[in-house]
Amino acid sequence: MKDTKSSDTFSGKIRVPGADDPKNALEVFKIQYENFKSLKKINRVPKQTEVLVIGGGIIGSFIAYWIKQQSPSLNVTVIEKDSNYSKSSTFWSLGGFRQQFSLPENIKMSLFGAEFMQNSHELLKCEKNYKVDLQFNHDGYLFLASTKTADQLYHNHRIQLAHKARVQLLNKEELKQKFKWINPEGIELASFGYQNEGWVDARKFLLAVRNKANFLGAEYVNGEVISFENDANDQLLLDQSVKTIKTALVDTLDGKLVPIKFQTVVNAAGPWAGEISKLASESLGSVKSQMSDLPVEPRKRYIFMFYAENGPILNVPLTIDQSGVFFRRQGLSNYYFCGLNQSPDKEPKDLDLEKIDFEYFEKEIKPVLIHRVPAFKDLKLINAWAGYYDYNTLDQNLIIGKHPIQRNFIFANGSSGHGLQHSAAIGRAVSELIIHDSYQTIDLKRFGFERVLRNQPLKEIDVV
Amino acid sequence: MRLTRILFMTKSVRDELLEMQKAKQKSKSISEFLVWLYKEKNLSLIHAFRTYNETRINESIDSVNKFFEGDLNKLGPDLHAATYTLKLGGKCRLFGSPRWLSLDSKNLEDVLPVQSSQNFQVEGLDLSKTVIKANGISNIERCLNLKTLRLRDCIYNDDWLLSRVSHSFSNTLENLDISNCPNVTDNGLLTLGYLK
Repeated sequence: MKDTKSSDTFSGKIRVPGADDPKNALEVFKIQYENFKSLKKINRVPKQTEVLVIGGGIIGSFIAYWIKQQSPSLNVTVIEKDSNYSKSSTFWSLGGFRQQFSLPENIKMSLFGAEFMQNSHELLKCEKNYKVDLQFNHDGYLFLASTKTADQLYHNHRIQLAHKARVQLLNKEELKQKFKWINPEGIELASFGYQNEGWVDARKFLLAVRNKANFLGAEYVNGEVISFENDANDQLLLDQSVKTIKTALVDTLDGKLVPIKFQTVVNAAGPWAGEISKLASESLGSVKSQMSDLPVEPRKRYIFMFYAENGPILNVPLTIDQSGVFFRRQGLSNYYFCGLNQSPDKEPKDLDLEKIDFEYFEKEIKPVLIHRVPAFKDLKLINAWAGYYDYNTLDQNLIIGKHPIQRNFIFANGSSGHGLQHSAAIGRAVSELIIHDSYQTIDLKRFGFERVLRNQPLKEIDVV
Repeated sequence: MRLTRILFMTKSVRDELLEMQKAKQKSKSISEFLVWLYKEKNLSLIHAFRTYNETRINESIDSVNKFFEGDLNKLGPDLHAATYTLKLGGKCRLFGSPRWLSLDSKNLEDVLPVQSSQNFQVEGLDLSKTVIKANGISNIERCLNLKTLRLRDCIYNDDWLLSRVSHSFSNTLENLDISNCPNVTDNGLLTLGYLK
């Protein structure tokens, strides 16, 4: 038994002996005899791996899938604290894919994701996913801009065209011709992404990737990471012995604490990534330069579902108004989703997913919708829910890469709101970091953790 | 020195030396070699044998469905589209004539002109029973006045292909035939709303 502190604070839970703890042959024989005697189904938690992925959402599952696909000899375990995914951000997301970004790396990542979706029925084939049909809807995204933001939209459009994105600019008259349900009052320019854009069923996507990763050999463990344990480094860095994180204490929800030893750890915990980096920095003691806080926190976002009898069905992309209100069609029987991302002043302060503010819909979203689409006059609100964004408070963009000092801690967090479309590219980049130690398909050095330390934000303009 | 060299040239001595070298190395059995292939090189021979034909076919199909930019620059959009369809095994119909041209054991030069001219316009393309995929449609997208398009019995016909067709020929297309394509779903049919 290594640390007595952990056993004091978590009373009532048994600490299972780890991979490093010395064992006699007698002890091993006793454990095996007891297991055989009770004949219970044992959930075998592996005690050492090569890659440990914290978080079993879409990003964590994609990391496991790409690592196993490229080098099947690496051991990968994924730790997920809730296999019902009741609070995960992928499960409640609308699953949108778009190319219309202003940073070139984001555009390349979404094109990679669209290519993956094109070949998804071959790549995600396995026993459980016998006929993977992810039902990618090709209706596209439509951004509307007033006279103030039209210049920015045009500037973004040029960048997107340079990277071979399939985007079109539309005037007021062309807008009215193409989309007959729209009221083009107050709009100067619109940009319509006609290919590689749309939406997908996020839950089917997540479960398909998880099944394929399981089939390829990644192990999914049901548990929660409580703390990290460190070990003295082999090399001396600047005459100071730097400690490296080597084991993670995982609370499998049976009442046991299992220490898992790893070579590299990937933080893909979504909205709770900040808490995990805090645990890592606590375990390394109070040395300042070793670990600093990750600026990622969960933020609540609402989605409302309504029914409109006379609403349009054909040619309805996911339209985003200049005020930020977005809506899209769901199915073929006049149901629609809508929402609005709050400005940082008006954000809901409680993180309870079951409390929904219906006045927000009545005051801010409904009048804009009725103004923009006259056919939505007889709106009837049917349903609403809330989900978390893994919100990056610095610049709302991805943080990816190795920590500059702790070279076995990899980040893959902070893609607030557009994580699902970039998840294939993020997983591929992290797997290349682990296997080849450099980026090979898409260069994501600018999104590294160093910009957090230097406080240099890389902002995206017009983010939903 | 010379004697050793002469001796080394004789076969029996060389074989004995090679055997001595091999004995020093680790002797790998066939099963260990296969395991090493699977783990390090990510190649499983049984899987490769079973899917050898499939991979060859898929690779050849992908090599055909590329965007041939050089040919497009040489020949112009209409002529490039016509030659591409004839090479794949389809037919094409030119502006002003009701005949469908095809390549049945003829040379390309007999059927179509080698250089583009102003009067050359393609009105219809028949791509039925070919292996066209979404990437290959980029060779055909730039036709100016395409009126009929037949994609009957195409196995690799996808929602992605349909969305490309509907957005690039939105103004001019009059007849579209997508019968008997098993991979088309209702999401693809919804994209046809952009055709006039």
